[in-house]
Amino acid sequence: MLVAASIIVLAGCATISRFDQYAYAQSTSLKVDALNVMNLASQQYDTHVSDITTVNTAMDKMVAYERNRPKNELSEKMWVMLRDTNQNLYGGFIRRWKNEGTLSPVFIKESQILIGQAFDQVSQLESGKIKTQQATN
Amino acid sequence: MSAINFNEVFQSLETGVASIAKTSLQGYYDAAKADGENALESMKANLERWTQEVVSGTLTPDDLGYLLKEEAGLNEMTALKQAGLAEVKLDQFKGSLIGLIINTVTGLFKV
Repeated sequence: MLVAASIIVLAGCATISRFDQYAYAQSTSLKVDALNVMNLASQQYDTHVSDITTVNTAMDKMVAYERNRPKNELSEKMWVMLRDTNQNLYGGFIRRWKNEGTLSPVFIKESQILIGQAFDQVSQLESGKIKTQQATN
Repeated sequence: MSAINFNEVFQSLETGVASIAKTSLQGYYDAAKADGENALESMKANLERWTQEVVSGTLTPDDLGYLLKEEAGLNEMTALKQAGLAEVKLDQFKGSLIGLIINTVTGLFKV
């Protein structure tokens, strides 16, 4: 009886969401889109508002998607950090571009390295999650 | 059917739990350690390169300030990833524990 109860308790309380193929694919795809937009930052911000809006909207959709997955607070928080214009990753880069009009090529290149690695952290967490097939084995 | 010796059963479970904990958590420890070491090496290399770029005028001191903040953001992202991977290991550990309990208990009733 005690053993059965222990098994039920253990089985019923997963700590973190399972692997999600869509979330993983989006993390790698949006990384490419974000780095491509950053490439344009040596030119005037105003001439690329449409490109920027496209990527920002895709990231907003991703934040909403992650927010609605159960037990997924960490992945959601990572996307919020990437997107938030008050923080210092992709959103912060866009804020600075907007404020300054253009950014230097060296700064853009160095930022792309860091922000690319930040996107990689999201992908690595997702790919490290338990696949449904593994969970049922 | 002979009486079940629960002391033996729990001793066997204890050994199994220790073994599962060692195998499932060691991999996480190694990966987290490697992440930390890579971050430190990367921070050192970045700082050297950025400082030279400021001296040569290809980066402004303002750029340097932004890059340092971006790097801090990256470190926070790495920490969040590691926290998530630790939770994954915990779930894997719980899964293995369930398997161990089921195998041990069902083994008691085999003829």
